[in-house]
Amino acid sequence: MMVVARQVKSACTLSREAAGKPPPESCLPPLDEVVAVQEADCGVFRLGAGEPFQVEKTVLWLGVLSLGFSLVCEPHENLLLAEGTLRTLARHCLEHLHLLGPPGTDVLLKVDRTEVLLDRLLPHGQLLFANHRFIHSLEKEIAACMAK
Amino acid sequence: MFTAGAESLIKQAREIQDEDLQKFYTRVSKLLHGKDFGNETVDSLQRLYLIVSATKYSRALPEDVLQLLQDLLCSSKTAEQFQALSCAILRETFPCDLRNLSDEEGNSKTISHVAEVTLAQGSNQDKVSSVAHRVLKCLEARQPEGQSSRYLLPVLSKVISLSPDSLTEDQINLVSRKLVDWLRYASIQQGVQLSSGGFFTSPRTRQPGPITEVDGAVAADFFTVLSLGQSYTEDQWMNMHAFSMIRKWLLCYSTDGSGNGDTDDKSEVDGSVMSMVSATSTSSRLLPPKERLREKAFEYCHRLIEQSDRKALKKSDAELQKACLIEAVTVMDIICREDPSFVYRAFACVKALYGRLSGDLAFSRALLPIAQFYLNHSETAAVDSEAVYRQLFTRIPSELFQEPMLAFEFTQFCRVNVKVLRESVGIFKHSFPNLFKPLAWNSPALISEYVELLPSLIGPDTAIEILHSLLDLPCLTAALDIQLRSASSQPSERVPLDPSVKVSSSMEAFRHPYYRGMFLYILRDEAGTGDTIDRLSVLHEVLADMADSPRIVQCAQTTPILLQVFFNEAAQFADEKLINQLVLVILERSSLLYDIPNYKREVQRVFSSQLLVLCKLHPSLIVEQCKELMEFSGTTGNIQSKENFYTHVVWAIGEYLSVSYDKRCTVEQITAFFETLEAVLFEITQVRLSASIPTYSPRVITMLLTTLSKLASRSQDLIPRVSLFLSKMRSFARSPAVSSWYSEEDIEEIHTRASELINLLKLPSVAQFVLAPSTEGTSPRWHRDTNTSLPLAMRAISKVLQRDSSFSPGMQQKAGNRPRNSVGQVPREVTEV
Repeated sequence: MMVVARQVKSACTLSREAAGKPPPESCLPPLDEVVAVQEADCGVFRLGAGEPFQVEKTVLWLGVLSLGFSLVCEPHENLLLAEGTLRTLARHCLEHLHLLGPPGTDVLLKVDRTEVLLDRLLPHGQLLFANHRFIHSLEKEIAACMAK
Repeated sequence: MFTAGAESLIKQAREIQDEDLQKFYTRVSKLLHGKDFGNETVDSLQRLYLIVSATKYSRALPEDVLQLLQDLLCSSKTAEQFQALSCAILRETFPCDLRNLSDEEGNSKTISHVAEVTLAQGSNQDKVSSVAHRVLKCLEARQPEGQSSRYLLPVLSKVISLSPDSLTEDQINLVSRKLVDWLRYASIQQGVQLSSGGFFTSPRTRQPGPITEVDGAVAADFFTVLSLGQSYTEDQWMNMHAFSMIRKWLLCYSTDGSGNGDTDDKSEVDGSVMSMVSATSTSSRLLPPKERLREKAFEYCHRLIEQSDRKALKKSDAELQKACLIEAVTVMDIICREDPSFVYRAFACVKALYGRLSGDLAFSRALLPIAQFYLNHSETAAVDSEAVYRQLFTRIPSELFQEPMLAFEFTQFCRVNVKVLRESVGIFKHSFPNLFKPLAWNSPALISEYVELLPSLIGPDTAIEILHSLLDLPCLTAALDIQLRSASSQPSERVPLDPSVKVSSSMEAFRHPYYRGMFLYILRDEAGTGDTIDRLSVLHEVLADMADSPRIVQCAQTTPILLQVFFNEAAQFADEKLINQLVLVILERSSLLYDIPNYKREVQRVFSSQLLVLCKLHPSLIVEQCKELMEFSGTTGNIQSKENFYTHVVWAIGEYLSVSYDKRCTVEQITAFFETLEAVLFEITQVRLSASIPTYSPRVITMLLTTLSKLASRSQDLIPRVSLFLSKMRSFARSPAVSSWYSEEDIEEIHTRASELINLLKLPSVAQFVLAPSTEGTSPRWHRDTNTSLPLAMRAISKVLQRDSSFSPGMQQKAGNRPRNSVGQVPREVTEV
């Protein structure tokens, strides 16, 4: 995972540099998760066989301020759907893990929340063709789990 | 923001001492034994997860903790939070034998969690098969109230990607039948909303209304993922899940693939006997399950394509429509590959879709699967695909190069299909100027794709133009940037400038008539209008204000890599004519480059090494290009601006300008080169007392000396001249003024070299042997034949070279140890003199 994370980090940095954006540390975080995800940098690259997975993979990434989200896909998966799913996941992570607020270290411990999110929005790694009503139902279920 | 605290937390988790760990395990065990799971339990489990996942290796948990966690996981009464935690923890631990769940209650959610743990612990065929078996048993059975089968399809999807053989033929047919039901026959009434209770609920339960389309209209046909409802029924959920995995399923169990399907190859259908009568839905009931699934999946895709024409009310649904289009066309493509009888029907649909989308750039991502479809099937259906490819290779790269996802997918399309494109799509070969645009814009992300793609673009007729385009890739980046900024500027700022106005920035130059043609050339769509332009240096100058922009710097960093790839490929097929042309380009462009920091140096480095490769392939080029080479090597300014490259050129001249490499080499040519180089050497070694003399590295001087000697050894009339010069060089090296320019080592270097060459040239035949060895030097005869054996020769020469020298013994040793790679092929040998 570290290999992927490192590559995502350099990809994101280079992309931001090319676009002439200021370094993330100097920005004020946006107040809204939706806006944060909309304005996030995104990109995609390919990992060849053996680097480090046995088979070829495609990595989709999203850079929200100084946080990186990456989704490792099979080469011929629907990238547009994957992008949408990643954005939705990122938005929920930001919201439920309170990532836009003052930094706390316990985000690492909130694995149960991350698990619930992944379980609903990307069950067993399956991308879902979910329209906004399906998403709405899933979000209700997520909210019910998080409330406990 | 998070890194410092998070890192220390991870460190703690990794470095927890054994004693503390055991105490922690005991605490967890105690908490899990208790009935009440409160915040403390949650907290402990969260920490336990961090501990097991923070290390690269899997930890082995104590038996009782494992057991408790498994109980937690397998019980259907556990709260979701604890199931999630125990699932996560078990996933990360050392593989353990999960108890067989076949006798346990068949809660689908539990099965899903258990499957997750099992599948994460290695794809042992038996385990995967048992998971598959359990899932299918549950899918077949009717679900008790309140539970849903929808958690099971993703598990199945995972199973088949891990191990397609884990399903038997019967199971595949069973699932195929169920998929047909879910895809095609889901209910079109909305689900009953779970009532939230409340004071004002009406006594009559509200009748659920019909499902709607994304634009609000009532559903026109069967249920799909683009159907909206307030809440969904079980089969509608299954419909969504089924479509989400249908592509994978069809790919996995295709008849021409690795699945255990029919072995008869039905896909060989002659184009001229294409079946016009396709299976209709009424007769499809008689088809076997796989074929029926294909039929129904096809209908589903067809419906999705129609539904995508509606204007969605919500933005997220509009995005989903695009994703559905891509998926639908791709699935149709897969179906047609398996069963060509679908091609005719599919083309009717895809062609209409293309007609709808072709003008709309917002749907460009859907153009790629359409193009793939055409590429795969247009021959079978005898459909003309020229327009599609034209749109693909002209509009997309030139107008949408800055979209990272589209650029990536476009590049993948080119890379994956490059063989077919090169052979059958005429426009592909000449659209490389356009193909370079996404790369120029986003070099770091796409460089590895283009390293693979580039070799296939290079052909004998396109090589030179490609080379020029590659060298000007950073210019292309700059031009694209200006083009974008210009397009988004005020209309008043886009008016062409008066020709008499002097431009002060690259943006202004873009609008100025004098420069406009150059920009248009750089931004061209197709090759063939000329290898490069005359006033390239003017363009470089006017773009100087953008040379430190990050995007351009990034591009400049990746270009040398592509140049290397280019030359590697070109060297494989280049004939003599092309090699000559390439060398000319190298000589010309070595100073004609966009002035970005480090760019010139890196490109010249590639040129240096590639010049030698080309010379080795075609040594006669020195003779054939002698005019240009003489001009180049005679210009002293070239030493200043590209010393390393110049040195390589001079070496190449010395090495290959000889009759043994080309019979046409004349004494006049050798003499002419000699005089040119002598003049240069004279100029750069003049002892002038002015402080503004540039210092040339000693390597240039020794290289020139050696080359002159080599030329002299081939035309022995020149030997006296050279010897005179060499002795002048010796005194030059010893002169006090020079000692202030160079270090002691450098001076020694020059002096030593001059001395050795003098000695060598005193015996012309030996000099010839050393400085102009015949090309047979690598043949075994030189080593085996005692009369001509190399070691004997080397020993003799060493003695010659060290005779008469005015060295001190220390320096002699030093001289003896240094290998002289540029003096022919003879390495130095230390002798006992």
